[in-house]
Amino acid sequence: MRRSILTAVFGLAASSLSSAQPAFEIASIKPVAGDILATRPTRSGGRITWTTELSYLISYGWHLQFPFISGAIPHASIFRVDAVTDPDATEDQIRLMFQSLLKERFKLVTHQVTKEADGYALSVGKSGLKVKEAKTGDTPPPLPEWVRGVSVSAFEGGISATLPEKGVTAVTGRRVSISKLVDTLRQVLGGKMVWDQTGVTGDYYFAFRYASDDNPEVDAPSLASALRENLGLELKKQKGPVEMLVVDSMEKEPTAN
Amino acid sequence: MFLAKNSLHRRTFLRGAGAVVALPLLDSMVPAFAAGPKPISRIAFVYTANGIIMRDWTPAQEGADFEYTKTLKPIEPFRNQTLVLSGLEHHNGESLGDGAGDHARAGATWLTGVHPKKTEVDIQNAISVDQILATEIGRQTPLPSLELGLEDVRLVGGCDSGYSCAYSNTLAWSSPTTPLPYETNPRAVFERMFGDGETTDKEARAMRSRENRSLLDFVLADASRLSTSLGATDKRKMSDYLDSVREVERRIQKAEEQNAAANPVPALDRPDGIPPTFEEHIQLMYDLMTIAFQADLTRVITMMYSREGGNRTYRSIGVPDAHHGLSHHMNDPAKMARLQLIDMHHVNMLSHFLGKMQDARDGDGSLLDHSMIVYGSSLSDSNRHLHDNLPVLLMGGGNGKLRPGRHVRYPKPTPMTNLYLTLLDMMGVHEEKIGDSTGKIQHLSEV
Repeated sequence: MRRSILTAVFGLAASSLSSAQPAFEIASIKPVAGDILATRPTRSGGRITWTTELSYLISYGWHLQFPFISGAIPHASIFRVDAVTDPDATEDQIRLMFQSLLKERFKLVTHQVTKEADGYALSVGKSGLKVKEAKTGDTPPPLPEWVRGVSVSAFEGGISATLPEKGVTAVTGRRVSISKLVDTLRQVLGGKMVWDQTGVTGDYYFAFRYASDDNPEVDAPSLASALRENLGLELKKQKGPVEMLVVDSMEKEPTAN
Repeated sequence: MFLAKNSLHRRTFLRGAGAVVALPLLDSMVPAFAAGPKPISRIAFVYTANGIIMRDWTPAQEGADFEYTKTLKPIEPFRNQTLVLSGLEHHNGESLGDGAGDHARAGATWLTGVHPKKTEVDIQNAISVDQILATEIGRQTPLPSLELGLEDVRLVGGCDSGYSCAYSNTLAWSSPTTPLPYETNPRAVFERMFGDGETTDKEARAMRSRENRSLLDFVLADASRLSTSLGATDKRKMSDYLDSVREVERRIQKAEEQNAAANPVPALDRPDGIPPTFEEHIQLMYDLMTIAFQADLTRVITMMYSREGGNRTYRSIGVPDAHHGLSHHMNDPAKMARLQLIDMHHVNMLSHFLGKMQDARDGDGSLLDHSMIVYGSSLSDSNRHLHDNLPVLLMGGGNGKLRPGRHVRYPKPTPMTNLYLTLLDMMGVHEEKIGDSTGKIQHLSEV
């Protein structure tokens, strides 16, 4: 089990150590005035733009949330990234490109340590998955009532967690992988580690709501119940090894474009 | 107050090429041997987005002897000008069957009190309370109202779960379908206030830039002439006032120089005239707001620190996290601590405004004595998107109509719009209903 966790969680980071780490075809990064940032990049085909802060760049590049990153990250500036890559590049490849960019332009040096931490394991329940894999040509199911008013196309290929009513969180996934769901669960669980033990590949449509408050008056199941009833997935507390990224050194400003 | 025998009209302007500068209230404007003029009431609405850590905001005690909480500590020097109001709510910010979109609804509801239509196209809200005031009393001033902000909000389309960006781009609505854009550039605000009334007069502004001279140089001749007929007190007041105007302009010019030097291609990231840091920006805006009130250029101002869902970082206080993301702290103590720093920082910036307003003399009192400043957010706990028990400060003396220095808790449910209805009444505007109001609230002017 430990081996599978390590493979799943550290696969991306480990691949960054390979000599053939992908890089952007063209990349400009420069400090900009102001304090307002975006928390994720904007992508249009092969063009990627992002005005953000170094910790967000590292978090995205290594696919780790802030609690799993430590060390000397300078917070002196907001940076604007304009990059070009192959329009067909996957998101995982783009994360690696951001790693390359940070290493090259900010002289970023990191190492990884493993710590034991509390988290959750997500696995397929005894009755199997309750959602069907989305196939090309399938008619997408209607959007759930809590995202009424949003165009279907705006949601396609994405996942969101919203608060549709007091004390309730609703998760809507539209043709997304279980690993995307795991990312979202890490967020709604306050940055706790969630280990994907489902072994499930493919993309799915799913929607569920759960009580995010302890308030007993909230009319919604717990997160674990909602996952079990709607997706056939089991969420259980677990301790396990967590890979932490430690920033050893990093320049405040990038080298010239 | 010194009463001069010859009086100047209240709306006396210093005129120069391309510039008109209204004067503050001088003794000479008071008719000789008459009672002092009735002080003018002003009102400002200041919005901080993404909720508040309420446990660090709400005083434990009610009444006059409340203890300042961690977040409110920066305004403790203004205890005698403070009303902390708890228990108010915006029920129409709730989903009411419309699902997600609390941030958009929060922004849209704060000054209207109605449930905005969930749409990305045919927006429907209501006239906001500041614009009700602008319509009713705005004719008495050169500018009916000022709508100011710090975030360049030109987002279009959908911004929050099916709600148009218009709902979170602004707080001010002149009609149910007309959101008013915010001015974020202090330079533009300054020109709107002190230009010749036509901001399209580019030649005059270009000439100023070429000659690199202060805008006020154009009116100094008038000022000199007028000064000869003023008493000593008025001369000092006018000198102080002109100095403060010149200081604001100097800082704007400095900001533009900094912009040009640091970022030769600022593009959308930093338009000319906007200071490079949040702190400089808000303080400059607050200085402009003070002068606008002082010169009676307007009596109604709305200021939006950031849009709902905004992602400003506050690295100057050690918070590199994006504000909205941090507001969904999932009860993580470390995140809550950083969010509280932002809340307190915002209040600290408010204290700058309060200080300026208190220092600005206005008749027999200060501008702060004669003003009401509503400060707050349309969400309380942003982590859970709660629209009740909102954080509300009512600062200032309200021209004698408020009895500040207290923490007042209202029973549930008390609509926020009841407060607005009461404040309108104090401003001399008598509406029967605003949004979901059910009547006026008590205890603002009495214990």
